[in-house]
Amino acid sequence: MLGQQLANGFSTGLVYGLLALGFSLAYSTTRVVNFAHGELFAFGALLGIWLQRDGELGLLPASLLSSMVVILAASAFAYLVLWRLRSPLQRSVATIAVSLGLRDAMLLIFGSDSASFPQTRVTGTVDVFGIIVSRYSVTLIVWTVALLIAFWLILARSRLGIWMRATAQDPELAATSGIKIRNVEAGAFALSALAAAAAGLLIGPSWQVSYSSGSIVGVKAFTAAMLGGFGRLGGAVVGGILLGVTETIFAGYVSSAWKDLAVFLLLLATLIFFPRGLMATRAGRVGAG
Amino acid sequence: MTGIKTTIFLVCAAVVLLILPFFASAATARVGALFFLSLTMLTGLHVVTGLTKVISLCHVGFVGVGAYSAAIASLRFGLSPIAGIFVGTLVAACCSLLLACLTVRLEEHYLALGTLAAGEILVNIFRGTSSIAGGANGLSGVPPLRFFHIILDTPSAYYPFCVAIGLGAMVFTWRLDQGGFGRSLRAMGDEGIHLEAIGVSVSRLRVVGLTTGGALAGLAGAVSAYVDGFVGPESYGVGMSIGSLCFLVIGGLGRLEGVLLGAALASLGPELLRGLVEWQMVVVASLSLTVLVYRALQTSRRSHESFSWLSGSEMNGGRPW
Repeated sequence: MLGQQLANGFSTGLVYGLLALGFSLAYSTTRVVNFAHGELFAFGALLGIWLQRDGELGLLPASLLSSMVVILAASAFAYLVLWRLRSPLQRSVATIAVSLGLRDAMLLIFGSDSASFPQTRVTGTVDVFGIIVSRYSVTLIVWTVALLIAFWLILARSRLGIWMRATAQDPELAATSGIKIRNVEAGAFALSALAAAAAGLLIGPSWQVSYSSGSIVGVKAFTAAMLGGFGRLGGAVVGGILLGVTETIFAGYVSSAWKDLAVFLLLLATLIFFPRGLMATRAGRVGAG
Repeated sequence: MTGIKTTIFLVCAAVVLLILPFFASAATARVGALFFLSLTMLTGLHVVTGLTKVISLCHVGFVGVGAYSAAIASLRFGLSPIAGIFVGTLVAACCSLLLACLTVRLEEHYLALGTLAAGEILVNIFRGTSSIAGGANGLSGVPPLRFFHIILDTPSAYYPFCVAIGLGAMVFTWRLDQGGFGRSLRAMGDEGIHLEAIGVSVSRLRVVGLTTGGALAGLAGAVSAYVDGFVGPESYGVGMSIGSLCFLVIGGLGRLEGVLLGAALASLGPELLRGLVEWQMVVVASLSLTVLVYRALQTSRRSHESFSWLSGSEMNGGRPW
């Protein structure tokens, strides 16, 4: 029982980790606390479902198309709005407005029903070291880990990743060295949005995602990023796993009705006692570690 | 100068608005009453976000605290509406004070996240405590406003009361804004470190600012509980706080006139966009984004130096691109 719950918590936690990673990535490069992160998650998931509604598009093409749309929308937002706004507070207010607009737009486009993906072809259970785990959880873990590794590779090896880390560390120096900050910010924002949409597409089959599930998921991403220390990508994943496991165990042994409240209390408590995050370092460090 | 202009404007507005229900239908009076309640709520947000520069995502949560406290005070303890309004205001102020004290070490984004968590916690409490707050169904049957023997249960009857509350909140905020406290608050957002250096306690200022904002929110909530006769958890979510913030941004963040425009949008918006009710929030969000970008462009054209908190010096000030 405990083993199974740990496994479930771990797989959910990895998805939180992916979300938190995207959140952290955008924060450290652009100094934007993206309050629309959760809405991007819901939008990615719902668009994926919507594209599959006629059965013409398969799961993979629909997911890819949905991710593309989210990436394009996020870059457009970064170019058109974010770039024009100077202060971090202004930028936060802008993402807050986006979260509101996107939420209601989703209600209009996709309706108010909570939806789950048509059908997952991944059913049944597998036995991992004596713990019975659903095959879906295993697939989820494999995909999320693959995505996390891909993100790590982009950050650590690609040119965009290097630019992003340089911008996060010292924007002025990066700009003088010829890095186009505007493009880097848009790139970071798009990558962050991709992480959110991918998380939505991955967890969609098991959660009843609806237009309104974005806000709570967003808060969980903040919490995970907070637990791991803002701007630390490895920390974000660790924070996500910590959150997922805590949440599942709380739901299993204490009360599932107050599960969300527990998350918010955890966030508030973390903020109160560790005003700069649990593993706070110098703000703005984006690293592979 | 702006002070005199604002006074004249406010006096004219007061006269026009006070005589309005004698000519208008009940529906118009109802919208008018809503306008003044939104005004009260937004003056609170103006103190919190416009002056104290704290992005509050639990402001409407405090409105809910005021509404629930007033409703519970009247339904469970049989308090009169006027006493209930005092209780609601007081409880909301205390909650706000508690949150401000707890989050006193937080800054900027972290603070916004803290208020977000607080807002969600409040909604969860409203929804989860069915024995006290009625759970998802809320509390209905809240008695109407009453002065001794005069019962204000129709829109035309409670309208003047709402006008009095709204204008009272407006004048209070205006005096606050003009006085030393308002100046300190404004200075705090722009030049916090300098303020600290001349011996003003920035954290104390922020706590007082947030408590004042919470009290105004609680006042609006308590009155609305008696006006609507119903209190439900869905009206006080974080989404509503975000909406209010957008209204304030459209009106002009940090300007008291902006509160009027914001409240007008909040109460008249559903009427004006009658055919587009579902699109209302999308329109509001796009409008506030446009206003943000437009004002940022305006400011950067006027000067490269920052002279309002909206143009900010922290992020890109003095950067070469």
